[in-house]
Amino acid sequence: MQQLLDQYSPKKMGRTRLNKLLTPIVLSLVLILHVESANTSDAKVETTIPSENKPSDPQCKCEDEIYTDSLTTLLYKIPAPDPALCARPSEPRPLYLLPFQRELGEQFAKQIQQRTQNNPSHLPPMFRSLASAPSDADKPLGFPPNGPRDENQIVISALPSEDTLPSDCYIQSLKQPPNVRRRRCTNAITHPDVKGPVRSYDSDETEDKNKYPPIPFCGDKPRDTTKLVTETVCPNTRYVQLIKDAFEETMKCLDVDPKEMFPFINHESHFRINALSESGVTCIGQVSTSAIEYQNRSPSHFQHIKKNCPNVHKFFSPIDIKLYKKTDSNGKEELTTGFADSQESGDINKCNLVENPYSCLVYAALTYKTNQKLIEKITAEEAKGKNYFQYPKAITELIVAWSYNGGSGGIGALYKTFLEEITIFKENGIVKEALRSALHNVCKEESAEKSSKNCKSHESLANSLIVEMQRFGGMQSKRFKNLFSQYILLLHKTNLKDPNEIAKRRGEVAGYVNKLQEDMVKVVSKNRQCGNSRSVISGGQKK
Amino acid sequence: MKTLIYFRHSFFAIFFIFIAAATSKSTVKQDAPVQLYQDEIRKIEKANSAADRWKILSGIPQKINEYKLKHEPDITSQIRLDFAEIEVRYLPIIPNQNDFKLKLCPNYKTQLLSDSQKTSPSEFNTLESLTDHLIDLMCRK
Repeated sequence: MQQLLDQYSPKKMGRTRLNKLLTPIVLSLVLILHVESANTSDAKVETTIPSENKPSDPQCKCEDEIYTDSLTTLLYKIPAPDPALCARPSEPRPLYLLPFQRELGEQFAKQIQQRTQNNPSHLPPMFRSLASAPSDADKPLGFPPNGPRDENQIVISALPSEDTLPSDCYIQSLKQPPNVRRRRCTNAITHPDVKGPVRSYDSDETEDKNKYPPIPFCGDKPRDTTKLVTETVCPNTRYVQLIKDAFEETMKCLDVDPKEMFPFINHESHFRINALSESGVTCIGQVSTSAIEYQNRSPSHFQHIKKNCPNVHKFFSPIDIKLYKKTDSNGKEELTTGFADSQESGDINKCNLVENPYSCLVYAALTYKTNQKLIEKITAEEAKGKNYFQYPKAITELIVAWSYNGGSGGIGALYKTFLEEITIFKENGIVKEALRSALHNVCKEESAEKSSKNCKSHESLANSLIVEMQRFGGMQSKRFKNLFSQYILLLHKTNLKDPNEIAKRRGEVAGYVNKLQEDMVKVVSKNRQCGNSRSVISGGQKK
Repeated sequence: MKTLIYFRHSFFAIFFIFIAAATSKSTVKQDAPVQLYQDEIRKIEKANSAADRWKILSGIPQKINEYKLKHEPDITSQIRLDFAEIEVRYLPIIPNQNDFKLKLCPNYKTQLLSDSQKTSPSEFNTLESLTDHLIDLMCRK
């Protein structure tokens, strides 16, 4: 492409000749993009090309907007706006492009624009509109289809700018598709059109189908119930403002840097308050019931919120969790956690609690802080003053990040084991063999159950560890990340019984930090103010 | 003849070294962490007062360290991890006496107490079930 552009630059050839050559290329590209976009229905980003077609049902209400309005009513105690505002008036049909198509087009337009001395009028109309588009920060959100609705805009006292992230960060996060297939409590918050509990469900969950009525009707027509899984919130300006306020005020209250916590929420739910994972973790922070139960044991947290954070206290409700007995496949009873009875009686109540972003973010931030405290304690006990790592703070942050997914108990125990093993190696010197055999023995002693492949993994892990420990100046953060993810793959404990599920879960935990980084890169590439490029999420170089 | 005696002595020497090595290895069993945890919980069960129970509980990390120092070269990653689980995952469930009594016990009592009072620690053979039993014991007056 570069060579092509150089060859056909305006300096080397006349403008007329350039236009003659470029026009067929550009037209064919537009045609391909347009045909492909017509065949696709997911993840659409609209542009501003109008057409004469009108929507089929002008009565149809935007449920997502009503949903958001209901949430607003719940949190801000203001009356919901007139539903008529949600009605879609006749409107021009926009041309849809997939994100990659749009990106490709933008790149192409930018390159051509440079070659044509930055004059947009040299471009064909399609690329002219792309090239002259405002920067991301100034752009309207692009969704919902009607564009942002600014009536009844909520005015909230602004936080000091140093404690905040640009709204665009939340918008970029919301634009990302969810990482995994999720069920959602869509419209679980009171909906004016529906009586009784409402919940989305997987199409194959017949029990749920019978138990819960389908999602609200759109006008007179029932919704397509097979596609409910992909229902999501309707992120308009109002929604973005709501999650931004909830996130930043909660973080400020609990003394957590919003930039530190942002990657977690970005990855876990992409700031969708109704995210519900198949594993049962809920809400914007994807917090497990056991994590909530653990935090509920320390009433001092909630007293702090009541005393010092009126803006959070106004909306926060503790989520009540109970312990109950569950019988496993072997007939053994074990304790597990779940929502308390009062919340199970109706999903509306349950979802009101877990979908309240203030409540969920309080638990998410408390969990993060608890993890941080535990990991820092382990580091202080096992590694302080020992110069094992080039950047010890980055190592702690990596482990804290892993703990958010794998649990601080499991990951913390693994981290302690790791530190003990490198201590043996460093202090006893020998110990090349001892360490190798210590790691290798895991499989030797259970050789009947474990495959020789697994034994080899242990041995190669021991060898890598030995090489790393001999490195002058301590282990690099990236090397640590690789080694520790191998520890997780081999040793991380889960409550699961099936070996395949255990392996799957270990893989998920081991890859968690990379996933966090990947998702963060997507946001930071759109807006550099959303993250610190030198943070753990981009490689861990903190001293 | 001398050569034969020499070989016989060497053979016995090697044989005894081998037996000694094998015996010393067998002192560290894979379930050592569970055994140690179980022993300490049994002591908690026999303790006469809440203060004694808390004292034994807070001494568990020390017992683990002593065990590790005694058997260090033979401890595998898996055993080390099990010990770390007790220290990092299970014991911190019981944060401090006041918070514990206030929030955790009422919740546990409704679910566990009636059943687990009838059982002894030897019936619990995993770190998880032992911890449940431990919480139950610590909630007793």
